[in-house]
Amino acid sequence: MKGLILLRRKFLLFFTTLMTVALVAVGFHNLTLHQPGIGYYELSLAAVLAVCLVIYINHRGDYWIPRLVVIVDVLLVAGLMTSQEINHLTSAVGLIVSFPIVVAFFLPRHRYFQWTLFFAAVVLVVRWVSTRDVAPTLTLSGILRLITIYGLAVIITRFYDSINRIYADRITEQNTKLRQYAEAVDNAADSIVITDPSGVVEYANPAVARLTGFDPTVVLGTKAGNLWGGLMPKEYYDTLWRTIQGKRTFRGQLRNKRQDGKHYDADITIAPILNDHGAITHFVGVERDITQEKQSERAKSLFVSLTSHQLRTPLTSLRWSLESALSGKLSKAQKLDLTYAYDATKRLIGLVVALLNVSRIEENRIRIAPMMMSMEELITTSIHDLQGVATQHKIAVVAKLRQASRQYLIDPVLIRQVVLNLLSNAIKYSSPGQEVRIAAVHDAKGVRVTVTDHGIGIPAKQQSHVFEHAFRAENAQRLIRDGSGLGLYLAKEIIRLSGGELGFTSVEGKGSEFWFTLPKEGMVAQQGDVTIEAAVDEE
Amino acid sequence: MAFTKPILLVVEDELPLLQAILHKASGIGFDVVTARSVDEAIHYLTDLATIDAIWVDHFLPAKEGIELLRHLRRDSRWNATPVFLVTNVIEADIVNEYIKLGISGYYTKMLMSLDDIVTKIRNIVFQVPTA
Repeated sequence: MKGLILLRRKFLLFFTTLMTVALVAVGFHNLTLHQPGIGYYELSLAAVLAVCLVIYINHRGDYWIPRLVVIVDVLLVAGLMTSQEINHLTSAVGLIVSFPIVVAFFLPRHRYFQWTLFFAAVVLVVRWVSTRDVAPTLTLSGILRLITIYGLAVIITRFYDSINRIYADRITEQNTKLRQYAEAVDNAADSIVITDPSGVVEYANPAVARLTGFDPTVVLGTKAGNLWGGLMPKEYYDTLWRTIQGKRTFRGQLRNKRQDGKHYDADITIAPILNDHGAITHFVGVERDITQEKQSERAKSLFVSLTSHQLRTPLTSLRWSLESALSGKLSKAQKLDLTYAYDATKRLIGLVVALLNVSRIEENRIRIAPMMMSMEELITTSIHDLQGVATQHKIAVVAKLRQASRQYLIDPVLIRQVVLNLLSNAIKYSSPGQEVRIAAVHDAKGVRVTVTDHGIGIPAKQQSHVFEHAFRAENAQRLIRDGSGLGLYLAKEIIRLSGGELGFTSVEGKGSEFWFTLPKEGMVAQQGDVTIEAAVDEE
Repeated sequence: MAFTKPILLVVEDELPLLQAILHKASGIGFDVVTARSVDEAIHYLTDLATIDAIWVDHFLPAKEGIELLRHLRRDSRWNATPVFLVTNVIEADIVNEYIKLGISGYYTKMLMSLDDIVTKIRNIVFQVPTA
């Protein structure tokens, strides 16, 4: 029966309107017959119905008004059907149009037969009362009329019922969905708040209490965030409000205060909800507690940088002591052993430096100090730095550079690290006797540096992982066992910080081409307490 | 003990490092005096007639290397003595403080071979033109 309530209003409106229109039409038609009384009668009934309609349209959800309208409908139909003066046309129209209304309202269980009898009885009684005729007799036309009413009742109620079931199903489905959503929102781990357009909380899920410490009953009616916010600079909240009032979704991270005074970090999303006219009716705010994540992130960074710092002194000792020992008088076997130890120490140092660099990048502590210089100059000195490694691997590094070249704002330390990384990769993953090419090309957008080799390449199915933390391709691992997998990650991050792009194309067994770009505006200076260290061997 | 070669004062608290430096720098043509703290180094300043170059680490017990540099720059006798910062410290602010006071070189210990550092210092002190 729930669905009925929803449908009833539309149904009643439709049929009452139809009946009014029909009565007006019949009324005007009958006027043309020029019989006394006929025509005016129908029109006056239509006027009564129109008044009912207006009342009904303007009312909202009242229980008795629709029933009143139905009763008027029924009485009018009864009057139509029993009046001596009216013709069959009026009678039929009244019957057909008003019947569904009656069925819809008073025949919920579809007892067609009983209701049909009742209806017919009402009609007969009304006719008898109004005409003071002899007691009604069951004529053939009366029986036919009853059968017609019955048939109509069946057809209309069936029709009504099927529509109603569709509506009911849809409503049930919507209700189920709504219940599911409500359940999901209530049980969400994230704190969810729904506010009116001015930010006053209308709903707060239980997670709000867990996150902020404030009971939902306390939160309701207050401005969202008044109880637990306010720690961020004013500009932050200004941006937030500007975004959501501009009907866009705001996403950010902020720090808030619990009821007990403790601070917490949160990921926040606030989305405006718009009505059909595009006006904001509500805001939905979702906050996720990321305090733990932030803490573990900080702890990880601290751990990496502490351990890396602590490792520096013993590693230096190891390196220099080995170096010292190597310069003494040694047997061939001793010398070989110490050389292994010395090389391993250098690799270890390289790893520590790479780890430190990554942690600095991730902590955003890198200082960018750009100066005007040419990319060609930087490339030339980088090649010079790597000459030892190139000779050792028997690789010729060929530079395709122009003589007089444009200058850019470049942080030499950072970009040198990228160039060194790409070049040393190209050298290390090539075969002896091969050539590594480096070229710089300038265009309207800036400069593009390309490093090409004919080495082992990167397997196609692993290419999407190349810039991940500590990733090493299978074939690269086979060739050089102890790379850190941090070099390209670092290079990519540096170029990203520099406003450029870094990418590559590669065919396994054929070689790779790595490239990076820098915008013509150059790099933008950034505050920071450290820079990148280059752990490239000068020997 | 009489010094005939240029004197290099090395201020470094790690004994193994000090050993290696002593060994390398002596071999390359320096007379090496070692100190393990800033105060010890300052003590040598009064004892020695000349010092041709000073090698200093930043992290030292009690006082940091920068204290020694300040001391030197205040003293007209040592005002012009070349000082080399050889350290694992990479924080820009710290290094900049040294540079402001005036140093002749800054080397990151871990990233360079001892030979490389000592050669670079020698080239500056002996004024050998760089290749």
